[in-house]
Amino acid sequence: MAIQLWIDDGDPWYLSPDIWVVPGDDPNSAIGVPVVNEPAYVWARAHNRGTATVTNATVRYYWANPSMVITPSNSTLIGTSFVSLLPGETKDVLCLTPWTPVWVNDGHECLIAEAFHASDPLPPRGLNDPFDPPNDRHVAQLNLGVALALARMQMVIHCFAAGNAARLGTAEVTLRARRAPIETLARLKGNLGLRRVPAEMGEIKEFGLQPFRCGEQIEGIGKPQLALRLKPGEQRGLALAIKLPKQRDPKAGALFLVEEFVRDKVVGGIGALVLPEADEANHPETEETKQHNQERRDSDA
Amino acid sequence: MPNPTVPAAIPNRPFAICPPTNMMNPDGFFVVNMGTQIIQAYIVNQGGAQLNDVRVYIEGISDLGVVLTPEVQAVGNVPGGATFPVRFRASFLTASPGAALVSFIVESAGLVFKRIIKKIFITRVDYNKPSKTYSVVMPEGTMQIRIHNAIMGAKKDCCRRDKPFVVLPQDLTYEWIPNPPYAGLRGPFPYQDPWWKIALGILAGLFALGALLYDYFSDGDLDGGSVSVSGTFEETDPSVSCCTKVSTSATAADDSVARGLYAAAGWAATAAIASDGPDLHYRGQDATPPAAGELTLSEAVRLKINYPVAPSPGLNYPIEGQWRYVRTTSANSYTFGASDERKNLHFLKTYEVQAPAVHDRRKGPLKVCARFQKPDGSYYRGKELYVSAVLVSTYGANRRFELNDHGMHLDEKANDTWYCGGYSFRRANDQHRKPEDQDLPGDWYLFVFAQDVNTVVQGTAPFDAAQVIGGFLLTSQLELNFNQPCQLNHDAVIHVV
Repeated sequence: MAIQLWIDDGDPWYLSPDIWVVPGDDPNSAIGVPVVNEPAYVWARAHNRGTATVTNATVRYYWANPSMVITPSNSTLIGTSFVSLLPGETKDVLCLTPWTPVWVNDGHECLIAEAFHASDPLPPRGLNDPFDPPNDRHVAQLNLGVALALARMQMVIHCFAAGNAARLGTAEVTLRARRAPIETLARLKGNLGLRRVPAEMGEIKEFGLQPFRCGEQIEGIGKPQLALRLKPGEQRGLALAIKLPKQRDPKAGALFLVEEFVRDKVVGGIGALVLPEADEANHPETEETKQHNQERRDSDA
Repeated sequence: MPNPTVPAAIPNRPFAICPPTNMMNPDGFFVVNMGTQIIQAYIVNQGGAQLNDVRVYIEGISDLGVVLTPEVQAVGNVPGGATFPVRFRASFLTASPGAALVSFIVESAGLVFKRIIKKIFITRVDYNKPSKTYSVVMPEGTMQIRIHNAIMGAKKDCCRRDKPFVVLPQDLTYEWIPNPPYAGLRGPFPYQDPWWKIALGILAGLFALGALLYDYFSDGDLDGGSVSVSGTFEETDPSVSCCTKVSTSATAADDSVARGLYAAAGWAATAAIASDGPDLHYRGQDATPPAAGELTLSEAVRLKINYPVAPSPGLNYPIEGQWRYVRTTSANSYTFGASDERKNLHFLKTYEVQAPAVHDRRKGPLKVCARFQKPDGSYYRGKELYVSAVLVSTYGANRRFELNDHGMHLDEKANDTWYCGGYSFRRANDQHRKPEDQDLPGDWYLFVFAQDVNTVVQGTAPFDAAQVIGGFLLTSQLELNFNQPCQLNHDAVIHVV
């Protein structure tokens, strides 16, 4: 293990604490949630857990539409950086190419970072083979959508795509949605610019998955589990619908996880975080994002 | 308690070095057409204590089209207060014109690394065959340049190749097309920094270098064609007798030495007449305020240059110009004209070079030192200059190195006005290699070139920033002549044993 590059997975693995975003023009300003159509900088934390120094390791950054199966062909390279690490050293690595999130899937996008070197190469991977964070220490993924639970909101919708790849060797996948303790985000709160993890929202009885296409109206909630027949390379739009309690703590939030299974193995996942609107003190907002959010609220209203 | 951060800073904009000539591009601009260039930055140790085992690398460049050759530079120990250079090679062939960011990582033993993010400027030169128009592309607009007449050299039979070496524009129109059109007296400066004339300098510099590097500019037809510099002007006046050879060389010489100097000559001449202070566009704008509600669509300057003497770089030569500025707005056309007599302000009072007459290869590297006196009698020091040297052999080899005033390696003391550097001659001769790839004993001719550096600090107001332009050649080895062969005068001859 001369050189051993890592970008750490999270728990669950698709919520990596080693990837984060700084919205705005200054990559050294506060961490936060990216704003659609405004530049942001992506950072990754690279570790060398080997016994030899690595010079000029490459770190690549991608964004992708939120999908269960993300491959090089359905993701977009944001930029490339280089890092040198002593044995046991960890460095935060900046992607200096700004990333401007686009308005797809309600603004939620997925970020991927991978670190490698000629002496510690990536495993062989085709353009249509999924990134494989749980089995490849070089790569990590942050697949988390954040929605504000506005006071008048009764339902939160989170859109994403289920997918299949030839490498998975299947024609059928299973999607399962579940609620997870919001404390799951304890390691991740810094990446979101949160000062603390919000309180846990009360019981949410109704949430579920359903096929969804852009522009469609969502009426029902759907079911927590869904089986889909998908050809290799095929993707299908889905929505996670969460019915919020009418009486709820205005400072409480909730975390939902949607995972795709192939033969009982998780091959992809997405987190959907419902943040309380009222807990402004906990939001990492700058003056600009405050204004932006206000405009969004106004237009929603 | 965590270790402190490396007390390093890069006060000024990193600049471009053209690898074949090892000289700085006009104002340090990176030019897409030039392909591979060197990103050079001066890093200052802001602390009073020595930094140990300093290493520097580029973490990333914001423009995805810039292809960096990744490298960690082991700088060694850096005295307190010293400024040291780092240089990295990158290809700009697929870069986008505009300002890009570069992040440098500076590491030192026992300290937390420092990340320094700096801007660099990238431009591209296009050529449109039917209109014989060059375009220098910048984020705030495009400068379209038509050269109606130019002095070109060298005269036939003087040079080894029938390609222009000297291009001195005599009559040209350069037209700024702001993007978008703007209201009011003036739009933004190109890159929020230099004068509009920077486009002229880049083009003038490229005429000589372009032939050396690619021998073509992309043409505007997008038909995959290319054009040689020759024939892209409306008229030419082949009255320059400059020779490409190093006059002191017995057998052959390095074209790139001469080309770098000729490029510097064109750049300096155009900059001199276009003024070191507010340039012609700026003055024209002042004199032609548009009416309320009008948008400026283009601003053209027709400039006729007279060279009372040949404009040898590094000399305080006079230059004359007649010019007419035309502002075209969405409703009107406004004009202003003037005649100017100016002088090249980029020269030295004196400079001195210290090098041994005889160098024994067995006794370590050849050491060369130089210092450069400003017209006011004071000396340049530290990061105020970029100093490069070239050793030209009598058999076609050339060896390049840099001189620094940083108190490291061969330079004894930082900021003492003496710039020192050197070259380690290889002693083993290999009969299987070409002579120019070997360091053979014999006479080697030394040239030491000093160029000023744009010392504007990032964040300076655009008008103030525009007053400072870097990259002018201050040393005067090239003696341009209109009616007799030009001379390249070496600074020393070193007999290598």
